[in-house]
Amino acid sequence: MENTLVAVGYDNDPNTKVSFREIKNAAIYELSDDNIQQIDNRTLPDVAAYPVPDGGGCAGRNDEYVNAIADVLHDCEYLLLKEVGAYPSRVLLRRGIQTLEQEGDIESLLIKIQQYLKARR
Amino acid sequence: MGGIIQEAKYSCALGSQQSVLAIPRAIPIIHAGPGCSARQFSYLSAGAGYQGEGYAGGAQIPCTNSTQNEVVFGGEKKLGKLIDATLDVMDGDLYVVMSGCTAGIVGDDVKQVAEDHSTKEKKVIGVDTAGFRGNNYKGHNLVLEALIEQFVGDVDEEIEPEKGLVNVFSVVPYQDVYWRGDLEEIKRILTGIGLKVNILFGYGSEGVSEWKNIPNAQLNIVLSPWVGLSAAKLCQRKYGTPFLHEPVLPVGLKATSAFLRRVGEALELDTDKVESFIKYEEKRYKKYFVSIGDFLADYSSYIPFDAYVSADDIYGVGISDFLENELGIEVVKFYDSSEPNNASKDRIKEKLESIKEGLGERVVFEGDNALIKEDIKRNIDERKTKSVIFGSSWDRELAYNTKSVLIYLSVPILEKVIVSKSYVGYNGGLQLIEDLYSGVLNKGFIAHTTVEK
Repeated sequence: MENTLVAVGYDNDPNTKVSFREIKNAAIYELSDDNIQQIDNRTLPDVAAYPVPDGGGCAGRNDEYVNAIADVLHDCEYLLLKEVGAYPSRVLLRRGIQTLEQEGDIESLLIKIQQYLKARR
Repeated sequence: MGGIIQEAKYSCALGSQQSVLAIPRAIPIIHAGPGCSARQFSYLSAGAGYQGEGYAGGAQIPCTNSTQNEVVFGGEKKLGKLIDATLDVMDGDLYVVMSGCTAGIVGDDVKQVAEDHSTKEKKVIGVDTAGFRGNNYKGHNLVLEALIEQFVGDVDEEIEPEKGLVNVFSVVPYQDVYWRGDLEEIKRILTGIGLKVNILFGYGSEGVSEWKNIPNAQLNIVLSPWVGLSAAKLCQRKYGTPFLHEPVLPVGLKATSAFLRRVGEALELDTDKVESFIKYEEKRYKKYFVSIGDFLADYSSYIPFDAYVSADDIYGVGISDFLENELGIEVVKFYDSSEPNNASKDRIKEKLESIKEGLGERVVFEGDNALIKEDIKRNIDERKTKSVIFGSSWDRELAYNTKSVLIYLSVPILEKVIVSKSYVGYNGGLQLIEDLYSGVLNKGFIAHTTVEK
């Protein structure tokens, strides 16, 4: 299996995933056939710097903000979160990053992604 | 079936969402990828003569819109949330969860999730209709069986069948573009000989109460070569209900009268009552039939004498019988596009042979309409006989180029709006006569006359 990078979005505690609107950091994991390893920790753009677009909603509707996140996660195939809206998901997908939303502990979710990647080959 | 086919005349198993919609106040809940359900609707409802969304169809159908997320982690949780939300906002008598390919591949257990979210007031059942399980004829069978197993359920006591009550398992709603009219006519003629009919689908059905009443029937009638047969067998095992298998959909006078007599015999009905209804219907039918005698005499040179039937085997066998035995039109070939299994193929061949010697050899089991059209064209060119083609919008150009009459019988149909039309029974036979011979007056069919100009 070609190694795949999975970003896990979190607020302040790297062991707790959060919703898209709360992310401040991303832990980067490298998944191979037989190994899961955290290789990096990246600070994401400050949401406060990006105004909510006209019409309201969350910062996830601001393309500039979502694209700035995509720039930081440019080498990742997945972004794992607790929750994410359809709009930022579509913007990220256009940049080649698939969002995955699921509750549960990070380790077991990464194992599921690893199993999926193996089966997908 | 393997490989790619062109111009398909059926959909995948998930297309049976339309069967659920055909039950009054039943609501499908789709567990599939985005677009699957919408395309089924587009092909099988809009593509079946613009039949509309109905009570809960089209854009109203709830769907999990599964993505990679559900592939990686499974989609049962999301499905559960969708079921709860649907029960909150959509008012129905029955909810049927149906899985598409994504859920089928991942292995989500829709039956179990449905059961977990079913309530006493709102019954939810689940059926695996992943597209790779087969076409929508097979999907329809799966839905029928799931409804009987999970909704109708077991009966506690020994059943005392209700005299004269029958269940009808017949055409596939929407896949049979004339299903509404067909089921009305079937119910009308069976009621005419004194029966009470659970028609199960369509405007003539009372909805879920009819389904609940299935175990009380005296007889199940299967009006199809193979679709619905497994449901009738299941009812026999579960409720002890015998079934009458009628592989030929009755079209026209001869087939309909014979069918009604066989039903009468199977149920030991009062012969006088059966014959009295048949006599009345035949008398009426013959008056109409005779009335076109002048037209047939005047236009005899232009009447088609060859037919190419490109349709499913439910309608196709019945139409072939009508053409051969009532109108004297030779069915040069019958192209069965419904993908029956091998045992059913043998049964269809046998039945066709009993309709007309040699017809069993002239059936082609083919799902690729491009190949069918090539073969029809070759035959028309060789035989140089005025022809009628029973087909779909895919066959429009072929009919025009070969100066043949085109009768619409299969999806997709985009040039007609279909409401209550039917080619089944006495009324259906007359309707078919009307459409077939009207086709003679189409532009280009009669050469060098004022009609063409």
